[in-house]
Amino acid sequence: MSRFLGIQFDSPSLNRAAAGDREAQRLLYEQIAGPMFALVRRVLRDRTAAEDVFQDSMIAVLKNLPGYRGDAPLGAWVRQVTLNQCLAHLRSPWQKARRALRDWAGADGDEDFELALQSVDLPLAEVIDLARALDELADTPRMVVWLHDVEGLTHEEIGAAFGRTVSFSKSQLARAHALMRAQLADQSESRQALLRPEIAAQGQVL
Amino acid sequence: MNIQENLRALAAADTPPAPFGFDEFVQRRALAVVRRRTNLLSAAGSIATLGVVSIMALVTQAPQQPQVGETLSVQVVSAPQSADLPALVKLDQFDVTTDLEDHIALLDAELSAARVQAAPVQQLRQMESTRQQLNQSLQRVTYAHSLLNL
Repeated sequence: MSRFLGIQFDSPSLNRAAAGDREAQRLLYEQIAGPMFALVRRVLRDRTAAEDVFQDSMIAVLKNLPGYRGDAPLGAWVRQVTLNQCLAHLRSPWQKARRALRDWAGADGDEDFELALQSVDLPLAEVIDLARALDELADTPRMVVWLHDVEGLTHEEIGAAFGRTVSFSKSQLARAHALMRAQLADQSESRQALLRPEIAAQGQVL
Repeated sequence: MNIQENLRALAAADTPPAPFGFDEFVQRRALAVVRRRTNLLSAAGSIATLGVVSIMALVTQAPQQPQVGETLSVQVVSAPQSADLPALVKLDQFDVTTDLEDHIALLDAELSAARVQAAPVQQLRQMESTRQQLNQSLQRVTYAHSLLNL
């Protein structure tokens, strides 16, 4: 389930935060910072960019808080604001050029995030494989996968967020899942090969 | 293997802390505001400077209008255009039009070569567009010259 949906903030504190009360804003920040940064860093692989977009998203939330009418849950609204900031970043021609340059320069330009695991039901190796397979995807499919599979957005909502059709979201998701499955199968095979005794022995000889 | 379920498990377990606390966020926001204002002022300053320079250039430039009776220093040479009719050619005008015509001819040759070599459509379009612009320029220059020669 999306961590945004777990955000709880009482109405009086929300009003005080909207009015500019520093302590109420601090409480709100502590509530929303975690889910917001988790989403941003999954969408943007570059740490500096993720921090900048996180900051911009937080500024946008605090700035637009007086306009929040409470029609949707607070978490869903914060998620939408964050999503808009991420999309604006990905669409920016300057950022596109920067990413292209970084990709051209090779993997040295990438700053992978370390997993901050609490407790997970899956074996650690599988978790790492999954995170790696997700990181291997390009920006748009990765975002579509995360929004659909984790944040629970519908294809209609994703299509609307990207300014595209429902079938755009569906095809991106299907293609991304296929790529991830292939990647996970490869990783699993190579891990099992390493565990085979004869190969392990060869490894010792080498 | 269900990717969706595994991703949800990963998302639930992977809980990164915020990159900075609220106090640092406030500091960074204040810095960003200052930086934005500085950029805005700098841009406004640049535009103002550009405007002032343009106005100064216009003001300080003396109007140059041809005086009545002034002799125009136009080099005139004879060029045998045809055997029957000797023509007078103004060399400066001749240079401009010849340059443009040469450019167009060169571009035509390049365009033909590109078509033969099946160059990308975008490149061909760009060349054609340039050729069209040059052709228009030539027409304008010729028209201006004909007005001057009246």
